[in-house]
Amino acid sequence: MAEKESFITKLEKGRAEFAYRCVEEAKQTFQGESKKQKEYKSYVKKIPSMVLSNGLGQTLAFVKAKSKKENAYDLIYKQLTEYMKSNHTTRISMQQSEADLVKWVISCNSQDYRYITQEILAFLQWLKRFAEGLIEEEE
Amino acid sequence: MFKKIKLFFIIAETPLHPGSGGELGLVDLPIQRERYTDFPKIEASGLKGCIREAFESQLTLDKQNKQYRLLNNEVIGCLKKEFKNIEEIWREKKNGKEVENTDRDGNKLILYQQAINNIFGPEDGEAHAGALAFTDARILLFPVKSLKGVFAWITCPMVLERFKEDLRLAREIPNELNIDFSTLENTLPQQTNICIESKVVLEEYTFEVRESETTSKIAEFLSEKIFPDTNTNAPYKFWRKKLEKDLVILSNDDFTQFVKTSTEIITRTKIDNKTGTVASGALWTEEYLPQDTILYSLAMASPVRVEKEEAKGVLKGNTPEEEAKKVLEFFESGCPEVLQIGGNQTIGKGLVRIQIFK
Repeated sequence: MAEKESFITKLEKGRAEFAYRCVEEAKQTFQGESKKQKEYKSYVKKIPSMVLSNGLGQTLAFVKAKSKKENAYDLIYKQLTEYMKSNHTTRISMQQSEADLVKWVISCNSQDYRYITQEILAFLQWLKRFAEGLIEEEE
Repeated sequence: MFKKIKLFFIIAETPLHPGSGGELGLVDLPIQRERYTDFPKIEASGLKGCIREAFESQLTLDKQNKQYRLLNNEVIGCLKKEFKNIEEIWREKKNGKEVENTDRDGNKLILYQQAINNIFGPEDGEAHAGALAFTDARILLFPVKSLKGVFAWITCPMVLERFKEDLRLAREIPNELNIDFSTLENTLPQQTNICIESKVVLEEYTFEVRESETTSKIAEFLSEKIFPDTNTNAPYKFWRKKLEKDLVILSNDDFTQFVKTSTEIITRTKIDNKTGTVASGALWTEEYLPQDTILYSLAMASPVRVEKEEAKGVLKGNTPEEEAKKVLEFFESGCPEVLQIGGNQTIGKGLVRIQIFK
């Protein structure tokens, strides 16, 4: 019983913790660059509805295409990859040996693909919430 | 208790936003969902309000005679056939004298308004419950983009099982549905238009499927009930044919996924008139049930709940059963075919067609 409980709590708590660290990381990486921080926040807010309306593969391909060295999309892509490799996911996670997130995602079968979509959406929900809370809006 | 129950379909003709208010989700303004299944639903209170409004909007005020009248249209024509004296003035006994009932401004009310009060409950004054109840509208068929055949209607064993139970409540037990639906996962009707070499591609997911005679029968049954072949409904021939062929019964889990992630998400903004750009902070997302989503609800009638017999008006019957029957008849014959449900009325959202199960 206790084990089961800790598994359930771990799910959302794990995601939340991971997301919190990601936003902290973003603030650290883009310290003093408020434009990039703002971009990070607005992309994180935008990506979930992109996944819902275009699908995960399309969205990840878009994020990857927009990634440039040290820009916000690059960091988000890296963080999503790390999340999928972490032990906070349910049902499915990415092998450490896999190199690229979108390559792995599109190689999965229909069912796994749906699990990944669910997993990433659940994570993004936390990420979005923390980004809204932790990254200050400047006037 | 409810004496008579009728099932009716709610067919979304334009995207539908039965909003649940703000939520801490991915979408700023999500739609209502069942707590434990995440299936979309329409709260009964909202549905009841829309139906009441549709009934009330059939009235017009004749300012010269200070009296309400009914509009002259097909729906009212039907209603008048069943309830001949519906347009007479509503008289009530007060202190032993019979007086004409009027609204606050002295306009005379008619028996139609008394019937609305009895059926939906009074807006003010003597409090009693309405004689007609509704259940939350449940999802039956959900449209999903298909690689072949434009789109498919999906459903699942659990949804069909609930539908069967609800029909049983309404004392309609069709033989076509007397089946164990759990064996029908990943099946579709014979000669379907959406299959590509025993696969269907819905959104970006592929499903291995097989044709089934039982599923054909279910599809035909649903199509006949939702888009009945009557002269007045002739325009729906195309949809009738489509539903007969392009239905997919998915597993419960797959269905849940689609109703969660394949709704329409629309981004809206408010433009500042002066600058012509987005007003600060005015960018938000809304969730809609796509058009062609098909839901259903139950209308459940009880006898009129007023003490005085004469206050029952046109709905008065000799037995409680007869009264409940009249209440349902009033709903059935007086309900307009098209209603507006949910948010964003002025941008054409929420138009639904009501089809009573016959």
